Amino acid sequence: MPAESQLVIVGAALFALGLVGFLSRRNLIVMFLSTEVMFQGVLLNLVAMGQIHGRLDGQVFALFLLVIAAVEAALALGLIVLLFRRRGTVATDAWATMQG
Amino acid sequence: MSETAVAACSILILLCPLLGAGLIGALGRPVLRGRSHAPAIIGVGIGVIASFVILHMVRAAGGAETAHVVLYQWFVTGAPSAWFNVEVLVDALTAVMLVTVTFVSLLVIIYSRDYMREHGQPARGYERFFAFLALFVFSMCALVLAGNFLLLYLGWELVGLCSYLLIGFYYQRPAAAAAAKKAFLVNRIGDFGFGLGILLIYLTIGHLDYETVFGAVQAAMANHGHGDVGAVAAALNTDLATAVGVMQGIQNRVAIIALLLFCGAIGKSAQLPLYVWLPDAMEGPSPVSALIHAATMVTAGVYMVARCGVIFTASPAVMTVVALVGAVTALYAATIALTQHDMKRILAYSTVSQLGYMFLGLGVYAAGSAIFHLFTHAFFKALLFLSAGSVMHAMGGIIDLRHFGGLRRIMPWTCRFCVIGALALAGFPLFSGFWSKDEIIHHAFQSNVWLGLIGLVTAALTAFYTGRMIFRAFWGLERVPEGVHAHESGRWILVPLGVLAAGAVLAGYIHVGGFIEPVTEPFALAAAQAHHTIPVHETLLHAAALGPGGADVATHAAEGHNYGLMAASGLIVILALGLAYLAYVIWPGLPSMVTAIWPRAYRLLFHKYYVDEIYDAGVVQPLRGSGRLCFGIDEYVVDGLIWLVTAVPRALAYALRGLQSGAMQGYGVTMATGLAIIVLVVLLSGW
Amino acid sequence: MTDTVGLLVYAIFAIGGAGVYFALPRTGRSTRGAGAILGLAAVALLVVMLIAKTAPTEHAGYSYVFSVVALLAAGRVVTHPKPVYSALYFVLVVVAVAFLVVLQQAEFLAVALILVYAGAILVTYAFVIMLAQQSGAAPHDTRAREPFLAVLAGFVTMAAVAGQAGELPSRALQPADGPIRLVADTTETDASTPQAIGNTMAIGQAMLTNYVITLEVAGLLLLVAIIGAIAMARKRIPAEEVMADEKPLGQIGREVPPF
Repeated sequence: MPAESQLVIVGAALFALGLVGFLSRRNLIVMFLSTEVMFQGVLLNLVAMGQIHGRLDGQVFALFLLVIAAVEAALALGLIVLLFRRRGTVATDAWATMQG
Repeated sequence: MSETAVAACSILILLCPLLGAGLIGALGRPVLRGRSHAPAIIGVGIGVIASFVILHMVRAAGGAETAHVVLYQWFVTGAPSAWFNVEVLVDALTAVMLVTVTFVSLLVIIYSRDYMREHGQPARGYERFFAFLALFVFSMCALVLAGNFLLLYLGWELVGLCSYLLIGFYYQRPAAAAAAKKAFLVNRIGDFGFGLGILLIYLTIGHLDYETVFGAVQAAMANHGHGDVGAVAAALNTDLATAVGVMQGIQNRVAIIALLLFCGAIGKSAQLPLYVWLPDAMEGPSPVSALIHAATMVTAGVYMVARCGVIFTASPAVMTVVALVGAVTALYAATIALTQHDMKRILAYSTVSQLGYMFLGLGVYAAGSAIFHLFTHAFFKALLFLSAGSVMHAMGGIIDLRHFGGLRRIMPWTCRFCVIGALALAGFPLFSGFWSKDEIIHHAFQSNVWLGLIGLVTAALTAFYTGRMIFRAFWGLERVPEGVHAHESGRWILVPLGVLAAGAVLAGYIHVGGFIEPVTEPFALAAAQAHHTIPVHETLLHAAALGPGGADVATHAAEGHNYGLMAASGLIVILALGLAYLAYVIWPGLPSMVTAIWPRAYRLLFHKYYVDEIYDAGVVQPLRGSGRLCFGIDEYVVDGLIWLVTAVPRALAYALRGLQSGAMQGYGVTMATGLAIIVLVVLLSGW
Repeated sequence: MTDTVGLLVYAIFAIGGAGVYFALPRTGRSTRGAGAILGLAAVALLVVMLIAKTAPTEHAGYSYVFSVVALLAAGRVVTHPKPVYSALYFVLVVVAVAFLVVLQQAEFLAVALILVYAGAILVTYAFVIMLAQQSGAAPHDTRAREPFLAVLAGFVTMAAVAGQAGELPSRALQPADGPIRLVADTTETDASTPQAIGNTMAIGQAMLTNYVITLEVAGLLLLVAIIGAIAMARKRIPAEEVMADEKPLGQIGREVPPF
């Protein structure tokens, strides 16, 4: 088992933790923090794969991932502020209006 | 007879009343209002003139000729040649019926002009009334003129519809609405059989026009019921092989066909057991009663049986049924009429009774006499109803004999006309009813003593209840209902009464039976055969009066006079009238004494043998019960099933709505779970 | 060997999943202690397994330390009931990941990570938390939604992926066309990479040659995001505009019985 497999496993674990947070937390801010954790997992995986393949592309992808993360953070946080201004809360339950 | 002239007259007779009705319907309320009677009078008046023209043409042709005119081809079914046409058949019978219908109807419509007014102002629904009257005349003319069974059925149903509309004219009154409904429903029962009969004719013969059907039936029943294949093939215009099948079908089914057709006649002409609608039809205005009873509706059954003589006479058993139904109805209705207090109701039962006479005449192969009686009856019954209407008009809508009396001096002209009508109805010698009724009784005696005796007894009863009605209404103490200013009616009412009164006296001297003899020939021929083949009919009296030979029977039947019988019945009528005078004028205590002696019989008659109650308990209530049952089944079983079916998706939705949390994360969890499952499946399957 | 690695990874993820499940905030009796124990056990097991199974490298010790820090901090990000602490723990995650990346000789990426995440994104989060967070523990923070299903879905998926780590080839895939070999230490020359250059320069080269279009698109994306964020921020929305009705929207149709 190569040394990079460590990164793969840790990345997967980070992704899993982020996914759990995204799915189970009711606070919009924490939810988006959890997505950032997932990004970290993906980033680790990209780097590890790049190393395994002996190429730089993984790191380049990771850099672009950073761009995406920044964009996502900016827009998501803007949206959160917007929602908070309307309902006075960042709880996701306040927006569950499509209930059956 | 020129076919063009016949066609023109037929179209005039049909279209003018129809156009009048349409005109009133379209313009009556906005334009015509109080003048709404004009289109009806003009339309029917043209119809009367055209009817007389047709009568004249038939007379000029010697009465034996038949004009069959196809106005246009209607639609085709099955074989390309099997057209259903709008066609008319004009012969002596048609001419007589047309004249009777249009003439009496015209007088009724003229009479209605004043009758349907209150204090000179048109009553509510004035336009509607005349539109329906004109439509009624059109329907009856269509029925009479029809050249095939399909058109006959059309007219038949139209007449039923018009009667419904007119009986329910005062639809605001629950009794009138119920009576209209009753008339319609009871007629439906008969019409159902009638429709089945027509379908069976089509099924058996494949044609519906009179000439083909009657020709085929006549040929199939020729040679003492053995049939003549060649004649059948000629009548149907087919090959012999087909004709053999058709002939056997006719021989097997003709009795059933006749009985089914007779069902319709029973309903429409108010015979036992479907007569119940006619007395209730009194809820309509008096002119409507006159129209229904005299000219238009109830005569349809008699006309139809006379028209279909070939079919009816093919089966002696059916003829016996017709005679029995007629005789029993005549006696039965006459007994009920003895005890009624409502003037119009008495007249209604007398109509049922007189129609029974007509069917008795038909049943004993005396179709000419039956039509003759129809003809005279139309005049005197219309006269009586219109007189009763006049009385009712004067009494402020009250027609119960217990509430008024002695109107002789208040309404002298109405009294005179009414008495003339009553004498004609009673069969007083030399009045029209005497001649026609006597002919029927005479033929009944020739056929069977018991039938003849029933006829005589009924004649006596008729005379008695007619006398009772007249004496109670016009003789005795002068009484009028409180608050009513009794007065003689106006000219518009009295003139039609006068014309009808003249008809009631003189109609008996027109030899209708002889005139339509060519049409009723099947009856005469069948009578000749029947008296030889059916032992029941060979009575002593028949043997004594007629001697041997069927031809003699036929000629004698057409002649129809027996002076001994005439004297006897005349005497009976006079005696009965005298008895009525004794009981209701000289010694008014007598009726109550009689009812005290037989209270049970009186109550039975007064309550009309409880027939309505029996029908209610035996037919209406079970039907209502089954209706409730069906309603219950629909309400609980069917709807319950539907509820169950809809409950499945509802329950599913109820179970699944938890999944539709509306929260994005819930969907995310579901998505991730699905992803996990897919990944696991891929990995475990060793991909 | 790979099978044992796979099974071990599954077991570790199962234990870790259980730990996260118990550590998630919940009403009623807190189970954070059990969660912490299970989580620590899972991390310890992971380290033991990695030590036992992977080939030892130069900086393996650091690598394990930062892995443990990253995982534990991430666990706290997800499970901490207070968003502020989540954000702070997230800084820890970023720093640990940056160190892990440095250990892979990707210095530029590590620095970018620290700069962008800890410097920019986290500050934004902090602002938002200050703006939008009520004081005290809000009810929606103290109660996780469907924790069991979420843990199951997340950890099963990722365990399946991580379980394949044992199958990874050992640097077997050499570049076919021999592009840029990344090296941080120029002294460590490799025969297969004649012109060894620094990592930063290598990335710069790659970005401006192979990935130039992607780079431009990324720039455009950032521009759009900036415009979008400004547009959203300028929008004036009266508070409780939608919730003005007396009945909360979420309650519409709730009372209708199914039968």
